[in-house]
Amino acid sequence: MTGEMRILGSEGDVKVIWDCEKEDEVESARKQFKELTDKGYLAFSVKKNGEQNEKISRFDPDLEKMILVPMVRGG
Amino acid sequence: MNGVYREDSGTSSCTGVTWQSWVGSDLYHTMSVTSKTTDYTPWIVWQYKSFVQIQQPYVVPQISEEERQRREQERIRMEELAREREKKARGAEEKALQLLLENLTENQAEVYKLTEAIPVECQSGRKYHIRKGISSNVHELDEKGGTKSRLCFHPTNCPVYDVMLAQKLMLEVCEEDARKVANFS
Repeated sequence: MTGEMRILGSEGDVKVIWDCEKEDEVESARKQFKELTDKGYLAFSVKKNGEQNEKISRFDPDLEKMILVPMVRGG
Repeated sequence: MNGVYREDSGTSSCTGVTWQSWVGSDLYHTMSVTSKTTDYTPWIVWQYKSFVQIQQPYVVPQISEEERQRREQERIRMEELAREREKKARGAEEKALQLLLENLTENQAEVYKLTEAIPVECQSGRKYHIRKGISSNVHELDEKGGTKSRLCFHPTNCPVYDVMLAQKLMLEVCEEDARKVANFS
C-alpha cells in the first residue's frame, strides 16, 4: 500500500509518495510532514470523493491522502 | 524680448508683467511673508533659463556596436525569462486545477462546472460560495442565497486553484479557524 502527501506551493503542489512497507520512505515523509507543520502548514486528510476530510496534526502513513497547505492568513 | 518667455500656464507673451501684477495685487499684500519684492528680474532670468533649456535639441546618446549587441542580448534574455516564467505559472495553474477537481464532491464538481464557484455547506449551517480568485472570493450566503459578507483568507504564494482548495478544506474542516483569520467585507 502506498501513501500520498500533496504539498501546496508557488509552483503547484509537490507530490510525496511512500510505500507503507518501507520504513525509510515512511520516515522521510514523516520528517517532511513535521518540518512543514512546525513551519505553520495545515495538514488535512482527504478522501478520493472529496468528502469526510479531516484536519490532522500527526503524520499517519496509513492515511489515503494528505494535503499540506502553507500558513493561511487574512487578506 | 516679447514673446520668448514661458509662463506657468503655458507659452505666452511675458515681460515680467505677470510677476509685477501679482506682487502688486491685493492678494500678495494680504499674505504673510517675511520679505517681498516688486523687482521682477529674477522672474525674467528664471523664465529665460527654462526657455533656453526647452529649446535645446535632444541628442541621441551614441553607443558602441559592442554595447548595442550587449543590450540586444540582454533584451532577448529577459524575454526568454519572461516566457519561461509564464510557462511555469501556466503549468502550476493546470496542476492546481487538477488537484482541486480531484478533491471536489460530486455536487461541488457539478456546480463548479456550471458556475466556476464551489458551494460549501458547513456543520455550523453556514453556506459559502468559493469563487475563482485569491482574495475576498469567499462569499458567505444568506437564507436567500445572496451574499451576506465576503471573507478574505488564503495561503501565501499559491496558484489560484490551490488557494480555492485550501479555502474549501478550511471551511469544511475548521470553519471557525478560517473565520478567525479572515477579513470580512
